[in-house]
Amino acid sequence: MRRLARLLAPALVPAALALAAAPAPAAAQFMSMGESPRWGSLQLSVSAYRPDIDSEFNGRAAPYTTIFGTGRPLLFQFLFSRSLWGTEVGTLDLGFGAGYWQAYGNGIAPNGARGDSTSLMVIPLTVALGYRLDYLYDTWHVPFEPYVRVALLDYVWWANTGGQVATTLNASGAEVRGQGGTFGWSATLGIALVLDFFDPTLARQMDQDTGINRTLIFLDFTKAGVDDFGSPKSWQLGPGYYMWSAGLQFVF
Amino acid sequence: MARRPALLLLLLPGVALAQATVRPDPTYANRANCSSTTAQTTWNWTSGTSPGTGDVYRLAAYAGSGASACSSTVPAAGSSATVENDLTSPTLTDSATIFVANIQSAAGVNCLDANDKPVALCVYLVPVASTSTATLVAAGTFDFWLAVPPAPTLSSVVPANAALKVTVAAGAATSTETAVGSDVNYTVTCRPNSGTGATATKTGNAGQVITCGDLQNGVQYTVTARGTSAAGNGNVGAASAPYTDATATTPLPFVGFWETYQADGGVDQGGCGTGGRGALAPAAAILALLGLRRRRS
Repeated sequence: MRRLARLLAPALVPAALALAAAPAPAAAQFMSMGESPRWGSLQLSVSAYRPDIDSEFNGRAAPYTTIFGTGRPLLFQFLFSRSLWGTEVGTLDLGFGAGYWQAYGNGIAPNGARGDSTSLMVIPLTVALGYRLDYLYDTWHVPFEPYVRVALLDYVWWANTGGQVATTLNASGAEVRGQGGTFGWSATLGIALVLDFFDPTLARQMDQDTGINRTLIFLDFTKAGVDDFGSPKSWQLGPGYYMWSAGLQFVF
Repeated sequence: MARRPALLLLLLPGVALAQATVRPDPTYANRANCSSTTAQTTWNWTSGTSPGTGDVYRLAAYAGSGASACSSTVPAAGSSATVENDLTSPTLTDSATIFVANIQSAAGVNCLDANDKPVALCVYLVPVASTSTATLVAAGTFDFWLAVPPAPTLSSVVPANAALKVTVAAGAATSTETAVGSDVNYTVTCRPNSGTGATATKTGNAGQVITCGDLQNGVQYTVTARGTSAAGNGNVGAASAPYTDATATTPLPFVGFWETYQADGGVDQGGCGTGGRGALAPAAAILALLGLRRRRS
C-alpha cells in the first residue's frame, strides 16, 4: 500500500489541490429558468485502449504484440469535475479522474510455446481542464454539446509475470522491477447528446429529486502522449491512434 | 420478589446439566486412529452428583450423540457397551484415558464407514450400597470422522518456469467417498515421467491454483491430485486421473511481457517518472492553479 501511495502521490496531490482551489459553486453557477444550479459533473466512460509500447522499437521488435496480441482491451474511467466558470455560452470545468485497464497474455518459451500468465495493468490518473458548449441546447434547444478537454496524465502501471510483479536484471546486474508511473498529456474533442431533450419533464423531475441538472451521452476522440513528455528513457503508454471514448455524463 | 426463588429453581437444573458434560480430548478420531491399537482419548467430566465413599464410575459408549443416546440402565460390568468397568476413588471432577479402539468396539463403529459417526460417552455413578440406584452423571460426544474425499479432477495444468500451476476441482460424492466440503485439502503430485528430477507435492483447496515448484525445465511430469478431509482422511481417498498432456505438463523457461520488453532492449526501467521532465506534470498543474487563483483575486 505504501508503494501504491508513493506511485499515486504525484498525481493525487495536484488533483486534490485543484479541487480544493476550485471556486465556490455560487461563483460558477449558471442555470436556465427552473433548473438547479450547475456546479460540476461526473463522467463515466469506456474506451478501447492499446498502449503504443512497440513504437520505440521501430519495427525491430514488438514485445507488446508478441505477448498480448493486437487487441484493444477496454479502459474504464471516471472524471469528476467542478465548474470554474459558467456563462450563457458554456462551462469551463476542472476535474480529476482515474480508471482501470489490464491486458492479459501468456508467457513465451524459447521454443515458442505458451505458458504461464503475464499481464500489464494501468491505473490512469487525470487532471483535466475542459470547456463544454452549452449554448446550442440552452438557447436553441439543439440537443448537442461539443466540448474540448486537455489533461495531464499519470499512468501508474504494473507488469506481472506468474501473478507477481516481474523483475529482471539490467546490464549492470541491478534489479529492474516492472512497475512505475509515466506522465503525459492528452487532448480530446467530443460531442455530447443531451438526453433531457427527449423527455424534458422527466429531466426536470430528476433535477428536482436528485440535483442532476442534465444527463448526456458522449463520444469523443483523444490524442495522447504518455512518455514522460518525450523522455528518451520512457516507453510510450499513450495510444498510437485517436482513441475513442463513449459514456455517460451527469451535470449537477 | 416472589418470583425469584422460582426462577432460581428453574436455573438449577440447567447448571447441573452444564456440569454433567463429558469433554473428550481429543474430540475426534479419523480413520487411522479409529483402527489404531494405541490411539487414546481422555474423558474429562464434572459429575452432576457427588460420589460417596466406595462408589465407582462406570464408563460406556453408545452409537449416537449426547445423553439421549446413553442407556437409561447402567450396563453391566464387562458388557459390550462398557469401556471402563469400575473407576475407583471417584471425585466430583474426574477423568479417564480410554483407548479409541475400545470406544469404537463398544459403540459398534465400522472404521471403514463412508460417513462420520458420533458416539455418546456415558459416565454412570455406581453406588457401593446395593440398595441405591446407579445413575448417569455425565455424558458427551466423541466423533469418528470417517468420510474420505472422492477422487478429484484436474481442471487445468499450466506450465510455468520450473513449475506447473494446477487447478483441482472436487470430485462428486460416491456411496463410499462422501467428504466434499470446502475444508477438503488437495495434494498435487508432479512426478517426472523420465525418472529424473524430484517429485514435488503441494497442498491447496479446490479452485485454487496449486503450484508444483522446483521442477526441471524441459522434463515432462505426470500430475495427479488426491484429497484429504479436514480430519486427515487422505491416504485412502482415490487419486485423480493423471494429467498427461505433454505441452501442459512440461515446465519451460517462460518469460512474461516485462522480461520480453527488457530482452528486446526496451528503454523504460520502471520507477515513478523518468528524469526531471517527469516532474513537469504536477508542477504544471500547481502553476496553473496558482494562476487561476490569482486571476480570481
